[in-house]
Amino acid sequence: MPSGCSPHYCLRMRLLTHSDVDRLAFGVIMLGSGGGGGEEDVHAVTTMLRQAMRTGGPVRVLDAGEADPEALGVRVGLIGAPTVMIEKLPSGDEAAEALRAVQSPGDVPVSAVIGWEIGGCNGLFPLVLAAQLGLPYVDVDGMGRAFPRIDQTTYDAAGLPTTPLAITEPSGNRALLDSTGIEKLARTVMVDFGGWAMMVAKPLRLGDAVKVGVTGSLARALELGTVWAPPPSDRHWASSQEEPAPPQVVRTPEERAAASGGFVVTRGKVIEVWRESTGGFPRGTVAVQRLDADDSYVRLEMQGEYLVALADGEPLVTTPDLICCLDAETGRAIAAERLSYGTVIDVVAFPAPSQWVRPRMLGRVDPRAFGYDLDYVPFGLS
Amino acid sequence: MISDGDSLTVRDLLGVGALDGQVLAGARGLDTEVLDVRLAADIGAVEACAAGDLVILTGHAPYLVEVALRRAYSADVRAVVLVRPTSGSYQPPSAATLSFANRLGVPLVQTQAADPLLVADGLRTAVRRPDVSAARLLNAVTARMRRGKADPRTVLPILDEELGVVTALVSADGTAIEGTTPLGLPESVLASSVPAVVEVADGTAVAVPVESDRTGHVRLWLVSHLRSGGKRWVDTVMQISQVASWALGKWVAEERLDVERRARSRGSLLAELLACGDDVPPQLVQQAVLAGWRLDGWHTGVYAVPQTPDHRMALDPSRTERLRASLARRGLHGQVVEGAEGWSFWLTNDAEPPQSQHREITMRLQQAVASCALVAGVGRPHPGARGIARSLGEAREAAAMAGPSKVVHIDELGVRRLLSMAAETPALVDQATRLLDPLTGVEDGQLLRTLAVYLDEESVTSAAAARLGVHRNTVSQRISRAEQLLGVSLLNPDERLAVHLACRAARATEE
Repeated sequence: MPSGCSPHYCLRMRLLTHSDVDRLAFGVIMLGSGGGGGEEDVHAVTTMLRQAMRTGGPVRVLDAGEADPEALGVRVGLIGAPTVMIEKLPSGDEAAEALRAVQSPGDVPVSAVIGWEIGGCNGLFPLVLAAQLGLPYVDVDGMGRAFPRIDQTTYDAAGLPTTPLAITEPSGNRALLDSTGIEKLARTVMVDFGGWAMMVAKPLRLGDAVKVGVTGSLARALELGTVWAPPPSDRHWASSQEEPAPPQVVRTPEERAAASGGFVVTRGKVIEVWRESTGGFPRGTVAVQRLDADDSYVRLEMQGEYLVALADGEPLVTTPDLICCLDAETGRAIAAERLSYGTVIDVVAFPAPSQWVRPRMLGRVDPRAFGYDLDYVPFGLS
Repeated sequence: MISDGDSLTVRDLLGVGALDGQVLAGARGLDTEVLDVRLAADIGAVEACAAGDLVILTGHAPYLVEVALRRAYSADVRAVVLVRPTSGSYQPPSAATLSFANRLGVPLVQTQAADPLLVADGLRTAVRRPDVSAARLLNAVTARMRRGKADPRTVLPILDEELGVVTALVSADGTAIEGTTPLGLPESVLASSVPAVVEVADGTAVAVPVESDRTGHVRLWLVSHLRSGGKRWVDTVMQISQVASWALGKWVAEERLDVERRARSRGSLLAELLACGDDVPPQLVQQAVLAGWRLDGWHTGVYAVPQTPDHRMALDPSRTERLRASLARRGLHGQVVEGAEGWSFWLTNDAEPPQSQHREITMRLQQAVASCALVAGVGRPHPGARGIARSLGEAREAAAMAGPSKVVHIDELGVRRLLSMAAETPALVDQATRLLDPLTGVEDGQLLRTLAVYLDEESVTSAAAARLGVHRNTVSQRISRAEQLLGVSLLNPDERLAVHLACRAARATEE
C-alpha cells in the first residue's frame, strides 16, 4: 500500500451520490484538523456539489490503481478565507474557467480530476469540478489533510510543478501566474481578488500524482464521516443505491476513535483562547482544562489548523498528525478559528498520512515548519 | 529560614538584586539553591540543563514556557526566568501556565530587560562567584558612602538600595533612631555586645554593634532586615553591615566631639567678649566670626536660667540644643551660648529695631522658654560688638527679677525698681502706715484690701469686684467708707496717687 490508509478503505471504482455527501463533508472537516474551512463553509460547498451532481450526475471515483498513468489529472483548490466565500458567493464556474486558463486549446485534454487538499472545503471542490466536467475523480491528493501553504503538498515535495497557476474569482477576473515564489504572489492576487479565489495548477500525469500523492484520502474522509458524523436529526438520507444506512448506535468518542485509527487526547473545557494575526496568518493558543484529571491542562497551538497538542508541557500530538476538536454536546467539529471560551470539547488525534512522516518530508510540515520550537512526536508514542 | 548551604537560593538572588524580577508562580521552590545559570533560546537548550541550574528563557510563547517548565521540573532545574523585552510584543504567562508552574513548584520569575544576556551575566556572577558579587556590592556601598556624609540619613538608604534590605539604627532600648526596627527582634540581641543573626517575623535580621561605651555595653546597633536567609547572603550582608557600622561609629564620635567642642569654645568666646568691654580686640573678632557670630548690627540680648535653680546642674549640651530648637521653632534665630548658670542668646537686626519689637520678642520668648522650663530676661537693643555685651548685661539683670512672669524686659524692670525702692524707704513706709492707720484692723482688713485692689485695677469697680469675688455695689460701698475713714477723695489725682503708693508700701512691708 503506498498510502496511509488500509486496504479496506480504498474504493474500487464506485459512484459518489447525494447520499454520500453529508458524511463526506463531515470527513473532510475532520481531515481539516481545524482548518480548511469550518462546518458552515463546507456546507456551502456541499450545496454546490449537490447542484453539480443534479446536472452532471454522480461522480465516478477511481481508486488510484485504476487510473491511466499517462492521462492528465487536474487539481483545484480555494485560496484565501472560506468564510469570505459565504459572503462573496462563488458563481460555480471559477474552477472550469481556471482550467481553461492553464490549458491551451492544443494541449492534451485532462481526463480526470485529482485532489489538492482533502481537508476542509478543498476536499469537495475537485468533486464539484468533476461533476461539472463529467470527469472521474481519482482518489489522490497532495496533503491528506489541510495545510495553509500551497507548497505543503507531497506533489511539491516530489518536485512536481505547481505552475503555471490560474487564479479566478466570481466576477470573471483571472490571473495566470508562473513564478518561483508562487505562494506570495498567489496570496497577493487573492487579496486583490477579494479575499478568496479559485486556483487550478498545471495538470499532472496521473502516474506521477498517484506515485507521490496521498492515495485513498477520499475514502478516508468517507470513513471518518461514517464513524464520526452525528446522526442526521433533521434530514433524510437520499435513498442509497449501494448500502443501507448504518444502524444508529450511540458510541463513545473512545470507541469511535478506536474504530477510526485515532485516540482521544482529552475531554475538557476551553478556559483560555488567545489569538493574534501575524503576517497574514492567524495564530493562537488555547488552554483546555481536562475534565478527566484535576488541575491539568491540554494546550492547543493553532494557526489555520490545530497543530500541536501538549499535555502539561509535554507534546502529545504534533503536526502533520491530525488534531480535531469536537463539541462534546453536539458532536460537531469545531474549526480553529471558531473555538471559543467555555466550550466543552473532545480533542481527538489521528495519524498523518504515512508519506509525511518520512524524514525528508517532515521538515515541510512538522512543528518547526510552523515556527514552533518542537520536534515531531511520532503518533501515539507519548 | 537560614539554609546551611553555601550557595545562593532563588530567593537570595531576588533579594540581592542580581535578579530584579517578580515571582509569578511556583513560590514553593524559591528556597532551593542555584548552582549555575543558563540562557535558553530554545527547548533544546532547556533540555541540556542540569540539576541546580536556573534557566533564563528568551522566548515566551505559552507552549514554550510550559514545555520549559516541564523539562525544568524533570531535570531538577531551580527556576525559569522569563525576560520581558523593554520594547516589542510580550505575552505574559496565562493562568493555565501559572497554575502548571505552581503544581510543579518550579519558580516562574518575570524580569524586564533589553538584553537577556546581561541578565544571565549578572546572575552567573552572583551564582558562580558569590565572593565576586559580594565584593562588587561592598565596592558599590563604600563608593557611595565616600561620596556622601557618613550620617545615618545617607548610609542607611545606601544599604537599603544596594542590598535590597531594610536597615535601621537602633538604640539599646529598641528605639529606632533612623529607619524601622524589624518586627519580632528579640531584646536579647540588643542587650548583647556581639554581632548576631536572628530570625524575625518575615525574614532574618542581622544586627551589628555601631558604638559602645567603655564597659562594652553597646549603645547603638545597625540592624538589617533580609527577606531571604541563605547563609551566603547573610554573610555578605553581615560583612557589608560591619563596614557601614564603622562609618556610623565614626559619625557618632564626631558628632559627640563636635557638640562638646562647640559648647566649650562658645562659652569662653562669649566670656571674653563680655569681659573686654568697649574695646574688642581684632583677634577676638576673628574668633567670633569663625564661630559664625555676627558682631555688627543691633543686638538684643536674652539671658535664660532654669525656672528652679539647680546648683548641681552642669548645663549639658542636650539642653542647649533643645533651647536652640525651641527658639528656632518660634522664629528666633541667633546664637545660643551656654554658661555656668544659664544661656546667653542674642538676636541681631541690621538697623535699630522699632520699639514694638520687644513686645513680640517677649511673647515668643515666653512660649520658647516655658517649654524648656526656663525663665529669661531681655535687654534693650544695642549696636556693635560691645552692644552684645551691654544687651546681655541688661538681660542678665532682668532675668534676676523674673518671677512667675517667665520673661522680663529690662524696661519693665525700671518701674518695678521704683516701686521696690519706695517700699524700702523707711520714711515713706512710716507715712503710709500713718495714712492708712484709720483702716487698719477695720472689718478684718477687708477695707484696706479692697482699696488696694481697686486702685490696682485703675479704679474700675467691676474689675475690682471680679477680682475680689464680691458684688460691684459692695466694692462701691467699701470704697466710700474707706474715703470717709481716710478723709480723702480718690477723685483727686494727688490724693489717689498718695493712697496707692501707701497701699503698695504697706503690702511690701507685709510681704
